[in-house]
Amino acid sequence: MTPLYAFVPSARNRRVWVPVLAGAAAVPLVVRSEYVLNVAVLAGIYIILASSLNVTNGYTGLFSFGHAAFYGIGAYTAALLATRLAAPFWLTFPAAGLAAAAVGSAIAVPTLRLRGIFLALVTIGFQEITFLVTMNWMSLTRGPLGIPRIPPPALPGISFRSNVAYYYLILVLDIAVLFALTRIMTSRIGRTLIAIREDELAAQSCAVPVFRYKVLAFGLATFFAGLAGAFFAHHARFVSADSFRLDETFVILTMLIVGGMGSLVGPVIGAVALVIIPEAFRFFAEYRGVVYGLILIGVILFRPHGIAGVPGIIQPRGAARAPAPPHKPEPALDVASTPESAR
Amino acid sequence: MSLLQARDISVMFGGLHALNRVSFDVAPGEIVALIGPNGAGKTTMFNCLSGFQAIETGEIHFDGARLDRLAPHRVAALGIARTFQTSRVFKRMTVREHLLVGRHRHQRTGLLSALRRARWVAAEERDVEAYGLATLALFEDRLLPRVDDFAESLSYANRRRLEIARALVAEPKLLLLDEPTAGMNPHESAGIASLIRTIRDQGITVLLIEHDMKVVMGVSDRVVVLDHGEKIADGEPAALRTNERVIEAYLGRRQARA
Amino acid sequence: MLVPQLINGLTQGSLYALVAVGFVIIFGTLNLVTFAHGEVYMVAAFVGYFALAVYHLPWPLALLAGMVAGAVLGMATEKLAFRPMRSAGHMPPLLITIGLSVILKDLAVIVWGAENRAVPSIYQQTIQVAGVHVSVLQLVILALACALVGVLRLLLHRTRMGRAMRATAQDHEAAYAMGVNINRVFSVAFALASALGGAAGVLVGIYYNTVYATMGSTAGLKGFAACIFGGLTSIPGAILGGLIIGVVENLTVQFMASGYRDVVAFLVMVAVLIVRPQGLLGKTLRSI
Repeated sequence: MTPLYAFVPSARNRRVWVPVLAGAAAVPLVVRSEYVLNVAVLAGIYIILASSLNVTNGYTGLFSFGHAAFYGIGAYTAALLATRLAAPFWLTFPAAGLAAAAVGSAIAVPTLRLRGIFLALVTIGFQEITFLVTMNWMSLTRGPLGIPRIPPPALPGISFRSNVAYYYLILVLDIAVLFALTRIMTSRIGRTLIAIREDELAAQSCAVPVFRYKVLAFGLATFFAGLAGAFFAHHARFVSADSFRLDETFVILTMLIVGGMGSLVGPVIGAVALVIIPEAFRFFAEYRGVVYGLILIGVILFRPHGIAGVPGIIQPRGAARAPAPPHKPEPALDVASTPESAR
Repeated sequence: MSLLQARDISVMFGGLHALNRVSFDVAPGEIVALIGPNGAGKTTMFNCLSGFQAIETGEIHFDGARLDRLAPHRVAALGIARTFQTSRVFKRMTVREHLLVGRHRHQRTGLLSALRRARWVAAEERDVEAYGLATLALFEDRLLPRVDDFAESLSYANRRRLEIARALVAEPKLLLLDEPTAGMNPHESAGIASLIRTIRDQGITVLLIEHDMKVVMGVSDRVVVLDHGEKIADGEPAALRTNERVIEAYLGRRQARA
Repeated sequence: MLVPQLINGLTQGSLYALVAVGFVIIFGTLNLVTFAHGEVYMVAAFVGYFALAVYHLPWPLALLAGMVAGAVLGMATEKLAFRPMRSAGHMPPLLITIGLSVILKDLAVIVWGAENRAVPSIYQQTIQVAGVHVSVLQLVILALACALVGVLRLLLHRTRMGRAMRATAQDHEAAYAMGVNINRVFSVAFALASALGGAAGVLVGIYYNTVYATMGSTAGLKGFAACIFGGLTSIPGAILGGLIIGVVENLTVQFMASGYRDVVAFLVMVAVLIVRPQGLLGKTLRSI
């Protein structure tokens, strides 16, 4: 039985994932409540966000805390293109991804030389700067007023009046994104990113241009975050910088950690679980932050690899060290072989 | 015409010479051992040769190209592969995956081709994997049966072998082995010595750092001795035994005088 | 007009500095980072508010109450987040402190509400110093900040615990081998750092006459920015960083839109991290 974190959807194991997809496709036929469908759509958005964060934080081992900023850049790009230039969804969607990826790659170059806490802090710095600029650049973003009246996606023949259409759209997008990520992460690219996470120096000795791959990982992650932002803009039909703060990065990160880092299914499980839990226990709604915080702490303390993550990316306590060599011999000439005159 | 030429290599660590104008050559097809007491500068020299350490003075030439200003991955791309003193394996990758990563410089799959999964991509993966598995044959039955195990579950000796295998699949011209037999028992060390000879027979030049004198005497064509960052001897293994400076370096001045 | 702005900046900056020094103490002794520091500051600020507005205690007592609350909360953080994760690297404890900060902030909003609470004013007079109008409150805050840092210096250099802390900061294992009670050192480090952060929280509440449940996040992040400036391990650097950020922020507000005030700290942080990650006063980049 393959462990959950090693699960890769393929033609061979379609007995496993086809029913899941069929079940997902059947949801709107069973569920009539607009509210529940809305929750499902939200889960779909977070699946993309958590999976994209997984590329940098899970596979490559780069701890970025700026993800929500790129989500926001995507959302604002789509919002502005749709409201100011009347651009249709099929244009705003990729444009949002490209805009986020462009910014992501640009800041990646000077910052990815940093490691550990320093990388975390510089990504937080960037996250906050993005938030503050968005809040204050009135002429472009209307600041705290946000951008309202974003049109729903205009796809031929489909009315986006109810959440059913949005649900199917996000389902299709999720499948496309997960398909792309599966292809990429099981290829030479994914392998190389994992090697970089495990041991950068050893990877360099295998002729891997580590820095270039790190920037690639960052560009990929931010691209998909931007796509999620575009969908969010056309779904919520209103964007404001308040939705894209550090708190939101923490939410996405919690989903990724709870679901499990470094695997394909982990972020999906984490996103679905953490969107559903506050809804299932509705009286907890006010306590959402507390619930998320407790879940995060619980996972780190008792099961750091989450539900379906690769064990060991976040070291469990008392992490085992590599087996030491049985003995380290003192370097010395073999005295028995030195000729008489030297002794 | 030597394959590797190191000239006047100096490295300073905070006022101290880790390496002080060290020069030596390695001819193609040679097995050269780099020995010396702890702290002599051997691993520092390896780091200079593989691009991990910047040098203050001197030049390194390899196969006609100038090495000393290149980043480690560029040095590797020129055909130099290495192992590390503290075995650096990818803990959460399988043996098989190590071989695939090791052969990185022979692959062309990029982001777009991976997405499309073009036909040549699948063929490339198969070829790389086949080459890797063929290389494992050099290690008898130690790694092949464990090809799908995570590196962190391997024994210490197998990890060191895996590192060598990973370096070999890159098809290097020059292989730098940093204490390949460290922590191994005499039987395992003999196996490594034999492996080194096989590697040379396949046309790969080997430069190794070693403390185990049996191995050094058994496989090397030439030995370079470092002490406190300086080269104090460079010649055939047999000549070492009577070289006063070498004995002095290992056993201490008083002993040599006695 | 410049000098009053300078004093504004220095006053605000000294409060950032107190938070930043707290980070440096924790990073210096434990080689770890806590994201919950801002929330400790916020809780202490509320304790100070209750002491002043509800129980009508004199402000020194309110300050003390806040510092004690901070210290207690800090030590609890250490026991929960860092002690069980001692050998697990820096990421697990960091994530636990993120969880803690989220919990504390949410609880604060639930229990105390999201609105601002008005903190009663003290020292509303201004006096003339060398021809310039200065508010007494600002002078008091500056004096307190200096006093706290001075006491800290005494503790670190003149007491046995202080020596133990400095030894642990240099080398955990050597200190342990010499008989230092590492657990106690960590607890004390957290208590000290959180007491300073708590003091900053109470003083900020008094200075701006307001406390609110979300005041911790930005303060914590600016504290990071300030201590990065001096390198994560330098106390004078953290102080300098805090003061510089405070002054530049005030100048920005003077000459540009006030909404951009907070950007200053983060621009400084990003710039320092990119150009000279060990900070302007720090030495080598401690590996983490």
